[in-house]
Amino acid sequence: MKLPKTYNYLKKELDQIEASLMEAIQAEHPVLREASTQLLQAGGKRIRPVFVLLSSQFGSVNLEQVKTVAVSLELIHMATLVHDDVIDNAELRRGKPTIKKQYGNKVAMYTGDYILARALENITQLHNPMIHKALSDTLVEVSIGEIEQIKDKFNWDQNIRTYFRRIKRKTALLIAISCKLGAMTAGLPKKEIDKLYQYGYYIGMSYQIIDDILDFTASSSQLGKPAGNDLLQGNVTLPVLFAMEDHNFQQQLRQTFEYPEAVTKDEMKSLIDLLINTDAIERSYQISERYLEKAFNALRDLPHNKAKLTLEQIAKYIGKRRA
Amino acid sequence: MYTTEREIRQLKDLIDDKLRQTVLIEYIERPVIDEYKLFFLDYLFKTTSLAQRTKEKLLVSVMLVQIALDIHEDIPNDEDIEVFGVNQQLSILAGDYYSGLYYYLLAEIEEHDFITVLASAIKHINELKMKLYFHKNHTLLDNVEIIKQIHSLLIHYVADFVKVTTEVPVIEEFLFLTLLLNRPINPLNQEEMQHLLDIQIQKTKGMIDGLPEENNVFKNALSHLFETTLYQNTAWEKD
Repeated sequence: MKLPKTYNYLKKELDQIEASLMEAIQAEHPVLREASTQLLQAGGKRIRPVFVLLSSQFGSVNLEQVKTVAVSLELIHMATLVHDDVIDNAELRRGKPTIKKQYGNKVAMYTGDYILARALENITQLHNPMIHKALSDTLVEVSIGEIEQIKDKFNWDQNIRTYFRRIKRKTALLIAISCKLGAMTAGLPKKEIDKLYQYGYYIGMSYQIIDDILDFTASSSQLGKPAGNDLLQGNVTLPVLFAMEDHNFQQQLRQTFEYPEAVTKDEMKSLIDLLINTDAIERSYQISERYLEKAFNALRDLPHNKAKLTLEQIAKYIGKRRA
Repeated sequence: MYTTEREIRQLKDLIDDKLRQTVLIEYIERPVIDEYKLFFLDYLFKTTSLAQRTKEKLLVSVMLVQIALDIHEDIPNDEDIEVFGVNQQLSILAGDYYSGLYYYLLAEIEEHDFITVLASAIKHINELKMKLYFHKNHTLLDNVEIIKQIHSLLIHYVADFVKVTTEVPVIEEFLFLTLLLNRPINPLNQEEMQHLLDIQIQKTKGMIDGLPEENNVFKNALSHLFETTLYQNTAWEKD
């Protein structure tokens, strides 16, 4: 998700968050510092800080608290990325060598653990028990989601409910908690906190579904990885589940992945072509649209302000993402 | 204030209960719970006036952190393993899950200061692990010192939290002794290991003997543990 021009008014706060992030990862060991800094400087969408900031603007903004929450959430995300790259044996992230590739698994493990520790050390500057209860619960859920994703790899017999539960834990919860914690720092009433949480959750679901669609419809250069890479890794996503209702596709899928490590580029291309010729992409977009509608509905009763307008624009932007 | 075998077993059960996550049980080896660390943690928390339930939760949290760190420490570099498979992938996630769980347990009882303590300890431990990993300019003695620190740093942070200071050096030496008894240190050969172990036995014994008389209960417990660790397999006093 790129930062559309409508977010420009957040630039000053986002720059401050960026500076705090940089400060947070200044480790003593030079390689640890360098690895963390490289990861940070590789960029990233910073969508969690954006959601924290926007949600806080429905109440009385406490910028110090907002910064603390935003920095911790982004650090948690960064720590996850470092470990994910070891799990996925990834060599590149945002076009740069991963920490795993550059320094090996051991250093990647130490760096991920270090960054997560910094995130928790940072967030405990806040003494609101509800913040810690909500965030810690999310962290556990996200871990379970990642564990289930590994467990469900190449499991062609899973159902759509399993998929939704997985993407909820994998993506939606961290966005939802970003909105919730932002709202909490601003002292919003529970009803409004819940609405913003719901917005984040629905946006996260929609975003992940579109990401899973783009895995088949976008080009390698747009994705920064080969098309169909998620499927090649064994991730059974919504388009695949829908396409499997087509007997032909299901047969070819099972046949192709009888020996997952031996799947060729041509076999993948033929499988992707077959998937695109089913109604799976269209139906997946429809589901994503439904989540977006729910996101809009969650915003409906919130007071009208610039932040609400921006949240609506983000939802529209997500809905428009196409290859 | 001896920690009995039964108490250790109960504490292990509490930790085991938290370690159970269906998918993980299926794929990864059951994490090792260091009983010596459990013993010292129990001792440290017994010096406080915290409620029993709180003490238990704090102790379980520390052990979850230790287990998470140990699991991640065992993740090999690609060149040291034939296939990086599902077990390794799940081990990484298991460590992350236990890290989330310690935060969850402490958030539940609103022990925010202790979350900071553990997070700071993890941060420090990973700094030291990096130092050890890139050890080119270190002497063997430097490395041994870092290993010792890494092994006992969590306990050190907990001791600071509960404001116990006198016992920390002997606990650190004792834990290092148990480490040497259980695991060879690279690149030491058998003879060098034995030499290091002999020195460590003498050093630890000297420190136990040197504990002040007013700390007799701890001194006796530790002497007993020292003897049984070296000469028997059962370290813990029978009920």
